[in-house]
This record gives sequence, C-alpha cells and structure tokens, in this order.
Amino acid sequence: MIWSLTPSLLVDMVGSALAIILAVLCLGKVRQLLRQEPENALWIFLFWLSTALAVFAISRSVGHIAQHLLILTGYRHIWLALSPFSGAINTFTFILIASVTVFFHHFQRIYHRMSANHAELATVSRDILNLNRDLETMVMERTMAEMALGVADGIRNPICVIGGFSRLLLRRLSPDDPTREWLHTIAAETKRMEEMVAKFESLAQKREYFFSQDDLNQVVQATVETLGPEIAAKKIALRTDLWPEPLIGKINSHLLRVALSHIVRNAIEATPPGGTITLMTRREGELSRLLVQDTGRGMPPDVVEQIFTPFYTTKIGGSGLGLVFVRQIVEEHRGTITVQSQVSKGTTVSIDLPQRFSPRQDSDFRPFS
Amino acid sequence: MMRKAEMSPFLFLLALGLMFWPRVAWAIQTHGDPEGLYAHQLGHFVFLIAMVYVCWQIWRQGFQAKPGFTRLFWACLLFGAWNILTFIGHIAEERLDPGAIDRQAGYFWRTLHITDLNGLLYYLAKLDHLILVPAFVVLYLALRAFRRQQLGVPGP
Repeated sequence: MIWSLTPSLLVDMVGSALAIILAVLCLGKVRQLLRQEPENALWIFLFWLSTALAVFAISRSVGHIAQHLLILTGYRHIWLALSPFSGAINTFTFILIASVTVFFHHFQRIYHRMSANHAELATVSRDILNLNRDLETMVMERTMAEMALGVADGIRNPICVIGGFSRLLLRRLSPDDPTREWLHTIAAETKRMEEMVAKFESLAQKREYFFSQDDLNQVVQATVETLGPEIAAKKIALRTDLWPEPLIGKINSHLLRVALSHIVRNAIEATPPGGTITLMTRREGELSRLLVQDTGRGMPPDVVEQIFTPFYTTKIGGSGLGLVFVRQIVEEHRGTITVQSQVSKGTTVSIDLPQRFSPRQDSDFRPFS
Repeated sequence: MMRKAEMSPFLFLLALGLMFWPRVAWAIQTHGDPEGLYAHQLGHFVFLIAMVYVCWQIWRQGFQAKPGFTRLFWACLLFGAWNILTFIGHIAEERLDPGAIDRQAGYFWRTLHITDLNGLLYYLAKLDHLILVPAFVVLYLALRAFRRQQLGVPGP
C-alpha cells in the first residue's frame, strides 16, 4: 500500500507552529500564577516545567519548520549541516524537563518537611501562648492579693483604733452633747472602712479559684498517658513509681502537667534508645516530691548552672524559655525545683511541693508599701 | 609540617616499565553515528519517566479530582504517550528501507510504500503532532484552571 507523506508534512508544519504558540501561552499563564504567589511550590514547579517545555517546543518546532522550508527551497545541504545541532538541542531539552522534575521531587520533600515544621512550630507557639496566659493570670491574681492584703494590713490597725475610740467616746458622752452627731458620723465611716478592709482580705481568697484540690499522682499518670507513646516510639523504658497514697494539694493540674511534660520531653530527647526514664512521687515530711530521672547523656555543671536562665538553650531551634516557665509554675505552687546531672550518666529533676500546699497564707504576704 | 613525598620502589618500577612499553591511551573515546540517536532516545526515555512521575504524584496525592490537576495529569499522560510514539518512530525510521520513500514527485509530494508494521509505525510517528499539540492544549487548560482558581473565578 502506498500512502502520501504530504499530510504528515502538513501536520508537522502546522503542528510545529501551534506547539510554539501554545508553549508561549502556557508560559504566559504560569507567569501570571507565579507573579501573584511567588512562593507557591506548585507554581514554581509549573513555571520551570513550562519553561523547559517551551524551550523544547521552540527548538524542535523551529528545527522541523526549517527542515521542510530549506529542503523545499533547495537548501538541503544547509539543513544537513544544521540537523545535528537541532537534534542535540532537542535532546538537551528532554534532559532539562527530566531535571526540572527530579529537582522538584527533592524540592517537594523539603517543602513538605518545612510545612510540617511550621505546623509544629505553630502548635508549640500556641501552647507557649496559652501557658504564658495562665501564668500571667496567676501572677496577676497573686499581685492583686498581695496588694489587697498590703493595703488592708496597713490601714487595719489605725481604723480599728479610730473606730474603737469613737465608739468609746459615744458611750461616754451625754445624750445631749452637740459633738455626739459628729462622733456618730466618724464611727459610721470607720465601720465602712473596716468593711472595705474585710473585702480587701477576701480578695486574697479569690486566688484559690485558680487552684483546686488534686492528686499529684494523677497529674503524673495523665502525663504518662500522653507521653507514653512518644517514649515507647524511641524504645525507651518508662518506669513509674508512685507513692501509694494520694498526694492531695491545692494545685493547678493543667499547669503542673505542662511543666512535667516539658521535663519528660527533655528527658526523652536526652535519652538514647534502650535507656530508662523514671517518674517517682514521694512524701517527704511536709513535702510532696516528684522526681524525673533519665539515663541520658547528662549535662556538665556549667550547663546545669544556667539551665533556668531565660533564653539559654543547648538545643538547635530551642527557645530557652521552657525550663524558665517550668520553674515559674513550680514557684507559683510554692515549690522548689532542682536539677542534678552527670555527663553520660543522666539527669534527675526534683520538684518539691508543699503537702496540701495552698496559696500563700496571709502571713506570707509582704505588706504592700 | 608537610611530609616529603616518597615513591615506593614498586611504583617507580611500574612507571619505568610503562615508559618503555607504551600503549595507545584511550583517554577520549569517539563513538560512531548511533551515539547521537542513542542519546536522543535516552532523552525521550527520561522525558517519559519524568511525565509518568508527575502523573503518579498527582494520582498519589489525590489531586486528580480538581480540574487543574486533572488536566495536568492528562497533559503529562499525553506528553508521555508522545515520547513513546516518537521513541518507536525513531527506531522505525532507522529500520525503514530507503527505497520505501518515493521522492520522484518532489519533497512535498513524497509517498511511502508501506509493506510491513515498521512502515506503518514510521508513518504514524510522523503524525506525532496529533498528540503533542493536544498535550500542550491540555497543559494550557490546566494552567488556565489553576489561574481561575487563584483568582476565585467559578467554573472549570
């Protein structure tokens, strides 16, 4: 069977021209996409893919059109000289397209990792913000209570004296004494001031709303439930040794969990697979003791000294604020935190909280001056 | 302080031997004519792999349901098909009997005497723009759909 090659020639020429036009149109469209969102990974990929395809379409189509025109006009020899270059450029564009795709493959992986890190950072940031808000509330309430008690403490005695004497004078004065009415007014106003002092004192009690009667062991158990999978994933053994009786105290269990989680996370990071993390609670006289021990890499003394210094961190990307918050939380519970560490042996964080610890007693507050 | 370079007696004797019994150095190898064709065919192959990879990525990430990605998927599929066709076309061209093309009526009016599958494949491969142009059209439509989506214009 004999078929004419004229249709294929026409298809080749028209198709080549159309390929150039379409490739340029694609490039224009993708440039619009990229101009509006220059950091969009997909647009970047499509821009480079379209650019490579445009280079391919132009080089190939120009080659094909030139071939037909040169041969038709009797310049076959020129085409024969140009042909290897045209073929080589076409091959180059194929490799370019493949390279763009390979590059994008790696680019995409990095982009996804960055997106995941960004999401994680946003979560951490939100947690820190919430934690900070809680701490601010707690500090504000404490400050308010201190102020109230300071003022009350400062004016209680003078008011008592004035009130007492005014009432005494009222009893001694004769009923028809003209100053009696004035004394009545003094006594009434003093009474009002005494009531105000009582209200100020009651403000200190409000702080208790932030704390509730909770068991420290439950805080530890809740933390273990949350972080258990993370510990297991790193193939670290977790040992919990809780005091058999409830360690009830006035605590903010949410904040204590945040603090404990941070300490345990530090332990997870420091402990290699096969190591052990121990969580222990004890009653030590009037104190409840919470111990977090790990068999991790430990820290040298100079690092331990600075561990609670704001913005001091040994982690890449660490904020240096985690342990500062932890200490603040512990101190808000009227507790103390200590860290003991030995390089290559591990670290022990010890938190002592007063048994049945409550907000500071009236006697604990410094008079406001 | 830098160590003084020393040559072991074995290496010295080897170097001496090579000096006295020289051979042709094959440092640069020039290949024959097929090298260009092979490089070109390899180019088609990697182009095909790249397009298949993009299709697979779109499929894997479940983006094919969106209009832009659906069209991009089809565009890449067409580019892949074009590579297969041209790959076969180049082989067919190499195997084509030189006498199969009749040029007596001029370049424009050439005819092809098809006697076997190879001849038919050669003819079909010469019509490769029937795949390449639609591939570019679908790519353009994909980009236009992405742009419309970006601008918040409703519709495909």
